[in-house]
Parts: sequence; structure tokens; C-alpha cells
Amino acid sequence: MAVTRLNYVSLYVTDLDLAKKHYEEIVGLRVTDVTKNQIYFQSSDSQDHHCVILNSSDRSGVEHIGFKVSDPSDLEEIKWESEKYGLETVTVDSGEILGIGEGVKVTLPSGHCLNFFYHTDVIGYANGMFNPKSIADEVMGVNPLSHLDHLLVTCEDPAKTIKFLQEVLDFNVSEMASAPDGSMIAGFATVGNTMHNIAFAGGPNGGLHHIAFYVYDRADVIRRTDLLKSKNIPTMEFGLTRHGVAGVTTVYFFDPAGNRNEFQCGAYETPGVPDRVELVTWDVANLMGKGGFYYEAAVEPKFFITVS
Amino acid sequence: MSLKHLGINRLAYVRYSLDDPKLEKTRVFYKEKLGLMETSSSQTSIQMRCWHEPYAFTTMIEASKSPGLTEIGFQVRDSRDLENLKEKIEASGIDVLSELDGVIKGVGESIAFNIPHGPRLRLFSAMNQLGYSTGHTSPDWVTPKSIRGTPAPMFLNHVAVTSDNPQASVDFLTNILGFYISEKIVTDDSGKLMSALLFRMSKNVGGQEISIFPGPAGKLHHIAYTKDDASDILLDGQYLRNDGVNIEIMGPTRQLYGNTFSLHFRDDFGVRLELCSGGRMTDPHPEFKPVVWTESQATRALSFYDDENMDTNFLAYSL
Amino acid sequence: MIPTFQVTIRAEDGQEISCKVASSETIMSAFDKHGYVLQASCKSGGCGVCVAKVLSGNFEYLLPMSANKLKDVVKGGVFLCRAAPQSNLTVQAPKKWSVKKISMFSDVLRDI
Repeated sequence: MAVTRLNYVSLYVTDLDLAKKHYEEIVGLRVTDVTKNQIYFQSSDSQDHHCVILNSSDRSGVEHIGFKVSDPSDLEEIKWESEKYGLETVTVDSGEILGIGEGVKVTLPSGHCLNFFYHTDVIGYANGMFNPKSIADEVMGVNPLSHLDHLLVTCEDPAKTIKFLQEVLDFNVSEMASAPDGSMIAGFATVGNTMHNIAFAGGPNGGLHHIAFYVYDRADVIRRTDLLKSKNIPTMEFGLTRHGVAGVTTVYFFDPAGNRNEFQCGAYETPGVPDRVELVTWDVANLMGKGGFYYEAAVEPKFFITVS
Repeated sequence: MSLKHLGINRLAYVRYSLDDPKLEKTRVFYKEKLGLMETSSSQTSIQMRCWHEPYAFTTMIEASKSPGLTEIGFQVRDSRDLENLKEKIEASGIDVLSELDGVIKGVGESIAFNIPHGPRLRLFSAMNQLGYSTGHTSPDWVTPKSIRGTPAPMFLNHVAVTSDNPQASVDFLTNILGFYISEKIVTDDSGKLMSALLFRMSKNVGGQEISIFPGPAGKLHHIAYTKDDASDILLDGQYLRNDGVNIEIMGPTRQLYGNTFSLHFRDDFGVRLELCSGGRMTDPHPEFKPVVWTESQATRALSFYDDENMDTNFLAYSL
Repeated sequence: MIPTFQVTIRAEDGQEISCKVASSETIMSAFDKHGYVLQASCKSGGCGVCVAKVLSGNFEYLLPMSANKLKDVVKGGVFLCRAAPQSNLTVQAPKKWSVKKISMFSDVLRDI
């Protein structure tokens, strides 16, 4: 039928052990599988096999991104449509990536690789699926986070890739930032009812700006910020803040390979299908002001250029 | 392209009637105490939306001497989608009433039908857009000043109804309308279905758009609205109480059934309302697995903070 | 005995700061201990914000660096967040350091 949701992100890390410690103890994900060069993680309140894969590498950044489809026949269609569009595709065998079935990898104009697949092994929620445990065990002294929410990636021409996602895969664009000449600086694309599953902003092709995890409470964002700072995890300038774009409370920090992470909380919801609601747009001046960081109404240039 | 997202894509509205001849009490409660924004009204009907919603309305209340839940509205992709669903519903043996654009103000052509042992639903493909109350250009996503000091919820979250045959209602919702189940409650001995939370959306405070509880067919159990988080809800509870609103004895509580932090309260006519945060991110996918509760665990699941023997009569329908 | 070297950081305006840095500690953390905050973002070898230009001397990295950042960096660049000196070293800073505020209260009274 259609693409349902962002399912996982596969990252490059320069030191697997350091990164494992970070995603397990600082972010608070469960390790679900391990190979010689990879570690698979899932959050407490997501039931599929994984939401993050770490790949031991000589570099940092995003290796590929996984999206689920709601019908096995979608894979053949995606392969065909993508190739017709002029994009490269690769078939992924079942089990080639642990915990998921066969898939089709598509290389977007932005340089990023998206893996579309139908099946994942269900590992269930951390509290259990049958008469679940009432309260989750704390991780790092905080409530466990909910799920992998979105990614922001970079490319030289955001509009080009967004167009493909809209035309072929029926993504909706909820918000957009544009330059004075009207060209797209950043586009926020979603297939469900959250503000974005994946957003594209100006920068090097194939770049990663950040991956974001959703926490249930803004109090959790506060507490997590306290813990990040006390453990000397590098955070962005303002620490805890709010984005004017989407109105979510957030804190950014870095993993030991230099990949930027985010904890966020905010219930922003969208219609989920294209052309329902008029696009929300941001101009550069407002984006640099309250759009980026609402309370401070200023953005450090580092925020935009730091990309892994 | 067949990679198009078809079928029901969002919970659109709840429509009910109250014995409030000119809707005076209704206006005071829903606008001044709860903090919804009026979008359209006449002497005997009012349409309202939450401040963060761009649509014509998500709550519609009409005056009637025989008050009750009228229908729940869901939006589908387009008119062909609507036609296909109509055929599917009729093929399942349910009568469908087709109605023209404008039968309900702001709603395009639609189809209405009763789900087995449950309420009436209306499906439509077009609804008027009013646009965001914040505007669409570099908007300030902040509660409008006029409704600060009220809960002013962000979105309509879900509608809970009763059914005298939960399995039959749920079967129709899943098999014919394509809903998925995020959580359900079954009997301890035979595993018979008592209640289910059903969804089509993947939203942050997610897991349900329509929920089924046991009771007489088609009554309203409660209506829930989305808030950002639990601390907001604690503050909202203070505002409501300060405005003389009747808050459920459970007070603010954690509801394991649905993974929410919730506050239940009543309007002046006894309609039960909820503010919720938390929920779960769900995937509208055939392999999505629901959480299963057995009935004996349900009291813990409905209100984790309260004495399990507390007399809340949670299951009583409210309209 | 852990070898220790003199590391000098020069700003574009010609100003210089200099510290003794052991070969077992990163230049960034050493200067931090001496009250200087160097331009940085991820501090994890992944973004390139802290890259300085080597004017003289040798260094090695104490923790892994991201290869795709290393290759983008002009020959002779050093990521100050993970580099340790292997000889006396002089570098040109990407952006001027800032000085840690350790006496801002006394400074106010001193300047009255």
C-alpha cells in the first residue's frame, strides 16, 4: 500500500565500544543484537527489532535509513518507480540486516540511502506485551525514551529530493524554510502524523545533521540535560531550548563519533497526507531568530555547519 | 501511483447533542473553561477546534431534547477512496447513507453508517481548511493569549464509545475500515475481547483514535484531547477546578492502558472528557502487535495511581 | 615519565597563548585546564569545527577521527579536540579562543 513510517537509522561510528556505551547508557536504548562490527538498539516503547544500528567504521555519519511499507508488493513498485525516476536501487536480502526482511535500497538525489522493507521481527516493548509491567526501569536516572522520532540530513539541493519523496512515495511536506529568492533551505517531510520523519537542509550531500529521540515529558528533557552536562557530554550552546519550528522542547548533544543526537518532547501533529493543509513556511530571518531557538531568538552558526 | 496513502487518515471530529436549548452552558464550558476555539455557530449548533488545528472543526455540539452521541467523523484520501470504502462497507452487509457536500457545514460529500453494535461513523474526503490560528508564516506555536489560563488542548486525540459486542465492532473496524489495534483487554479465562484501542494515525501522543469499551451499543464513553505532557495536565487540572469543573475522583493519573498520563473530568451535562499526554508511536502496519491485558489486570491498567477498590465506575458511559 | 611539550595557539590577529601539554592528553582539554576555551562543537572528531592549521611540530590522535572529515581537511590541519602533541607544536586557530571567566566578580570591583 504505502510507506508507513521511519523505522531505523544506521550510523557510522569511529569507535564501536565508546558508541555502545553512549547509546546504551546516555541515550538509554536496549541492545537487541550484536555482530562483529555492528550493534543493534531499540527504544523502550518501540516494538520492532531496532531503531538504531551502529557500524564500526573509520568515519562518522549516516550509513542508511530504514522505512517500513505496509504491503510486500510495495517493494517491487518502489524499485520500479525509483529506477524510472533515474535513481539507483539495490535489493536487500532478508536477514542481510539483522531482524528485518527483504528490502529495496534507494539512493536519493541527496546521496542518502533509504532502505524500504515490509517485515521486521517484533521484540515487543521493554515492559512486555502481555499484562505489561507498570513502570519501566530507569536508565541513567530518567524515564526511558519513547521512540526514534526523526532525522535531519543535509544535501546541496533539498528541493530535488523532497520532490522525489512527494511524487513517488506520497510524503507530505509539513513545513519549509526558504531563502529570500524562494529556494528551499530546508524541507520537513513526513509519511505519518508527526511534523517530520526526515528533513533535508542545505549542506554537503549525504551529511547527517542529527537524529532525534522522543521523550514523554519536558521534565525529562530538563533532567536529561542536567545529566548530559554533569557527565560532560558535549551539548549545543544553549543546552535546553525550544524550537520555534514545530514548538518542541529540545536538547542537542553528540555521540563519541561526533554524530549529533537530540532529545525532544512536543505533541505537534499534522494531517499526514499531502495537500491537506497549507504549507507552513519560514523565512531566513525568522528561522535564525525564534525559528531555531525560540527562547534565545538567536542561532550560533555552528548549529548549521556541524554535520557528520 | 499505488504507493498512495489511502483509507482513513485521521480522526476528524466528534459530533454530539446536549439538552442545552441555546447552547449557552455549552459555549461557556467548552470555550471559556476547556479552551476550544469557536469556528462557526448558529442558535442550535456550534463547531469548535483546538488552537493547534487547521480544520473547520473537530468538536461539534448541537442542541437537542434527546441528547446523545450523533457520530464520529473520519477523513479519507479522496472521493475515489470514499467510493471504494462505501462499496466495501455495503458488501459487508451494512447500510450506507450517502450525503451531499454541505449536509454538515464545512464537510464535503460523505457516507454515514452504523458500525455493528456501535455508533454511527461518517467518512468524507474534503473538509474546509481555516488554516492555523497562528498563521502559516513563521508561526509562533504558543497558546493564543485569549485562551491562556484554560487547558486549551492542542488536538482532538480519541473518542471512546461503548459496544454490547466489542468483538463484532472491532472486527468491522479492523477488517472493513483498516484500523489496527494498539492495546486490548480480554477475559482471563476465555480470552474474549472486552475492549480495544484502535488507530490509523502515527502521532506522538498516539495509540488510539477510536476506542471500544463494553456497554450499550453506540454510547459515548469519553472524548480525549492532546496535551504536550503531564506537567501541563497537572496545571490544567487546577484551572478546571478553579473554574468549578467536576473532576473525576481519580484525579490526574497514569493510565497504563494506552500508556498515557490523563485527567478525566465532566462538562455541565456529565459528558466525560479527558486531557492526555504520553501515548505511543504506532505503525499502521499489518504486523503491528497489540499489547494484551487480561481483565483482572484492567483496574491497574485504567488508573495506576488509585486504590484498585476505588469506586470510580469507570466503565459507565457518559452520553 | 610522560613526555610534555609546549603547544602554542596563534590567533589571526597575532595574539598567542601557550601551554605545556602532555602527550597523553588532548590539546583542547589541556588548554581548558589552563582557562582557555577553544572553538569546538562535537568534541568527538566528527565535525571539523575545531580544526587548526599546523605551523610547526607533530601530533597524533588519541581517539578515532572521522575519515570523511579528515579527508576534507586541508593538508596540515589538526583536530584540536582529539590531538595530542608529539613535539613542540604551533598552530593557527580557526577562531579565537575565549578566556574562562574565573574572576568575573572581582574583575567588576577591580575596574570600578
